[in-house]
Amino acid sequence: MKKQEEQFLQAYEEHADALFRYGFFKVNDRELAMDLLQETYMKTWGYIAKGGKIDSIKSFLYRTLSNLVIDSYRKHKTTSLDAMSENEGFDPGFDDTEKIFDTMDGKKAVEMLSRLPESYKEVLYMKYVEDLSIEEIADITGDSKNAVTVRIHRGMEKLRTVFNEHEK
Amino acid sequence: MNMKNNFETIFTKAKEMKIDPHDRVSLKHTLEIYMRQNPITPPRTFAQSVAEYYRSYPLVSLALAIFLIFGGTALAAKNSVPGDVLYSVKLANEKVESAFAVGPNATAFVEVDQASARLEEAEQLAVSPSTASSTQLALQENFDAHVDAISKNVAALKQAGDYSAADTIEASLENAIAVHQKGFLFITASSSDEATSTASTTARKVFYYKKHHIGDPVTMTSTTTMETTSAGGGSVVAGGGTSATASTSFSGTITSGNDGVQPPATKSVEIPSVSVGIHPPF
Repeated sequence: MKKQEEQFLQAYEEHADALFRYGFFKVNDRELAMDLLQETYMKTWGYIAKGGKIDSIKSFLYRTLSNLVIDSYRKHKTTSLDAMSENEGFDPGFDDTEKIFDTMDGKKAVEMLSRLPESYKEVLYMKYVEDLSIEEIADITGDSKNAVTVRIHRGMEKLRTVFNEHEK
Repeated sequence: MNMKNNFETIFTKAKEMKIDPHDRVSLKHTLEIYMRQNPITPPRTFAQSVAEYYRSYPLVSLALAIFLIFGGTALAAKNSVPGDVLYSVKLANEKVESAFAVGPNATAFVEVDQASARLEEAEQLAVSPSTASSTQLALQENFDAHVDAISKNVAALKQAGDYSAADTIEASLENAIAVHQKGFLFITASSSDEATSTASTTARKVFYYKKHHIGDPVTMTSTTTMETTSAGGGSVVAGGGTSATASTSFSGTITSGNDGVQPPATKSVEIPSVSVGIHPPF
């Protein structure tokens, strides 16, 4: 019994930052991201306490957070989902790209990534920022591993095109 | 600067975003309190869960207990015959069954089922040597009541124009009688006074007419009258009189065939043969 509590706190230490970042990436609001993070861990603990079985705590936490984010979208009706359709190009929003990279901090980088086309940004974020495996991403999003691979590939291609155009 | 590196820089930079250290500690503290307030409950065994469920829903457990007791009894009663302890339970269950049947068609089917059950019981009783005559009579009355109900519902169906349903019901009753012929004869033989048991006569009629595929007794009556009149009378003697209905001529034949002398068993066996006897004139 003690063991499960230790494991859970360890999961907090290990994944809290990444989950917070992911929440911020989704909602673009520090306070809200923090609230969602707390709720994610509480819900997960509630599930464990009731005797629920969890295969991978990491995937479980991401899934819980992801669901809470969707709930919060419904509650607050933010425009972040609608604002970005796939056809819209990715606009980093800076004129002087080189300069911005020098001064950019983590928060700004995450904000930039959250402006990526909706269909790619999630998988690209999970893959390249959180270093999740294809398998883990598939587990979290509920898609097949193939679908995830294809989406990452296309997303990277799109990103390259956008950045090359930007350079010219 | 390589552009490919640029957007990879974003990924790398993004990783640097962290929770504020102060927030991180306070959230951990909050979680620890939450965990203490919601400790892990030891997994319950299946029996414990079931017990808890019924403790929280006493009505459910009561209903379950009733179901188990009465359901078990009902199941046991289903195979009982008159004279058994559980027979009254069986009859009570049939009443419930009838109450749930709505409309002439459904009602008639339930009635056929129950009439068939009487025949089945009669068949079992016929084999056992000692059956009280009161039991036999009760069985007959019950059977007659069902046949009456069937006739009424069939009539209702015909009135509504649903002839196929009416036919199906009549056919199933006829089938039940044919299958449990011994039971049918046992029931009808119990009648001490033929004239008073109109229902069993009706049943016999249904049996007779269906068996010979002649058709509806009512139609038969008119045909008989027509035929006899055209033939100039005299050829149909069995019932006596040209205006005699099919039913009176039929039962009349039975009584005359019996003469009230022969033992019941022989009397009942005779019915078909007598019937065949009057068949040609029709």
